[in-house]
Amino acid sequence: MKYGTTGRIARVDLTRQRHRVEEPEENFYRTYFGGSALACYYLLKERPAGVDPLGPDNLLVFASSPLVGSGIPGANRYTVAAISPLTGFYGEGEAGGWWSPELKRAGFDAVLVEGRAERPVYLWIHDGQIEIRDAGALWGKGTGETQRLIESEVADAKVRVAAIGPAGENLVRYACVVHAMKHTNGRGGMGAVMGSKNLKAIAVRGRQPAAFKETQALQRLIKWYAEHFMDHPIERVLHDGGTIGWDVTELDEAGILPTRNFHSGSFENADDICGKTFHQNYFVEAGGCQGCVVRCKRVARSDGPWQVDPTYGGPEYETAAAFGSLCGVSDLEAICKAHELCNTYTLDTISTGVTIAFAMECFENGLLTVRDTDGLELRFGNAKAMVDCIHKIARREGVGNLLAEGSLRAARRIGGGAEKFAMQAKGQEMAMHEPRGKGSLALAYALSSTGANHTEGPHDYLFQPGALGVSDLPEIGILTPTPAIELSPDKVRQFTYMQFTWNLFNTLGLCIFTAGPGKLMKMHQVAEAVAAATGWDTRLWEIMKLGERTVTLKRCVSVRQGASRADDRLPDRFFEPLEGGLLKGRKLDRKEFERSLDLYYDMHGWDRNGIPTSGKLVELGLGWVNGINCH
Amino acid sequence: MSVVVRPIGLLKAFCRDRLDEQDRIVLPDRNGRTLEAVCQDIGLPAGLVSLFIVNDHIQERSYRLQSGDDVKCVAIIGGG
Repeated sequence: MKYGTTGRIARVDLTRQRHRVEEPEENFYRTYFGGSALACYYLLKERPAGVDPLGPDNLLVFASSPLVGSGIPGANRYTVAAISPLTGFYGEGEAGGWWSPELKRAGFDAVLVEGRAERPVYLWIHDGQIEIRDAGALWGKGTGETQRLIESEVADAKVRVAAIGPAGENLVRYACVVHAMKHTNGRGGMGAVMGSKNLKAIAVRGRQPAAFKETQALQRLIKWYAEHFMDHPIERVLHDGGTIGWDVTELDEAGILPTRNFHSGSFENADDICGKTFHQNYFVEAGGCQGCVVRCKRVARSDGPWQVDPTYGGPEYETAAAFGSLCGVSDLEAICKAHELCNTYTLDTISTGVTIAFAMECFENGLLTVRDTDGLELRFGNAKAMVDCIHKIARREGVGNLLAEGSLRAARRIGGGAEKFAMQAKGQEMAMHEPRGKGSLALAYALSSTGANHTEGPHDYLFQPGALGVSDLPEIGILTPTPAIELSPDKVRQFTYMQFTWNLFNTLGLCIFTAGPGKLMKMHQVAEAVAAATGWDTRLWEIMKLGERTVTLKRCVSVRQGASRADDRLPDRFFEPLEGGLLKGRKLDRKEFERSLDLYYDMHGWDRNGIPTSGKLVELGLGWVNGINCH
Repeated sequence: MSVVVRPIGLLKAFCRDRLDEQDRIVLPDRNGRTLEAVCQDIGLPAGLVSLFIVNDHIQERSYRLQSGDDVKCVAIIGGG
């Protein structure tokens, strides 16, 4: 008997309107497990080089994992992956919530979708069955209406629906996937891939929980976590304030709050958009994900001029900063509205905010005028123009059609040097963390195979000498922590090992807020949880190799799509001095950055062009990749 | 002279009962105490404080306080 997994993967061909079930061997799961690594396996094994992200050949993967449903706090996540329409390389977005455990209860570990339906459809996956249903009546609807209509059609109020709204249908290149109106697979444009396939939603429901091998061991860990999480400072802070409660004020004081399209690290109105202001004025209740006691989500509501609907949850830190300081906007109610709109249209809040900030800088510099923006005064600080812009992007109306392409493509169309205002890596927009103040983030943004990604590795301040996370590092081999701002060989090593852990979590379907370095559940406990769930006699070494395998698999997918060292770049702005805040004048050093890339490739067993070597592929059990032209 | 300690943002929750109306803690006679030790004195988890700003300059946690110092304690965690 297989433990942890259902042993079944749903395969759907929308062109032929067919579906089938694949039943991989146990060693497949032990090698690729779930989430990111499983998605990469299929993308590499089955797709040719040069896949058109919005063409029928792209493979869209929804992948849970053997740990999901075990009740381990945070083990409720899933990956949506494909070739990204934003970058052209490997793309993925992860979400928590309830969809992933429900998929397993419905009898599947993953859903793979290929081809393109002639007309809009949705998938109804329930109790081992797969149905392709007409979605004509759903097309054009936002996520809330889509959820309600599917609930009505399948006559089940507990159906879990991962859907796209108009932004996905209109192929906005950073459209996301949203389930329960508030859990988002945000990054990489996976919603546009769904739209390109005429796939409106995947609805799941089941009544057969997966079997886990050592249920008593799992229960002991779950009970221990529930008893101790409020004693851990990070978990307590997350529980009490969510991510919006822990960053705006702090990053502003530290001089690393991205402000006005990364010109400054300090926003003069930071207090207006911080967690305290949010909780005093717009907070309704805390929310969470399946089986998690931390409950870090926040729900917002306002009956003021912007009329914020709590159905769509509330802004995370990333959203507050992307629509706040980055756009120079200090109206937190408007930011909450922007969040609501993104969740109903299915737009990634990070890329949307950064793309609007890019447009604002173009406008301020005369590269866009009111003639280009349909009359919008798209200046920093103009909250109404920002919100209007979100509608236009989702509908691809006027200037929105340009900005729906993402900041890099838009910059190339605008010309006149606009590219220097596009804050992106590999075409994906930066998250709300300043790499001039966090050495690992500089590496994460440049080196992530998905393009700029703030969950690719550690955030340095928690792992510098004396900080809380340092005591968790020796078990993964880091004995000498490095200062936050440093970009040294030791920092590259620290980033490398931590990148393995962060990527491991995307393969395990485990949340980085409940476990891992700096969090309550330590890495050896994660290994114990995997062993208890699956019955495998596994240890930390094996799962760390799984993390490393995940990093290299992602790289191989992107390399086969044409990625190389030339794409491991950061915008010029980060090599120029910060214009304001505590770190005013701080900039990255180009030679140091290039040396760090060399060292990073060496550590990973990749050549100096960033291509995984044959030896490294074999060492990771990926020798078969050599034969499919990853090089 | 005294020393002023200002926990920033989320850190206030760990020492709320000691904050004055300006959200600060005024400590007498802390000459020579390290920043890390002062955190323990006022109930802040020192490991959570990732940045000490003393008189507008970043200082190591081993910095020893001097009379008149104005200290900001900042916790920087990550993204979300």
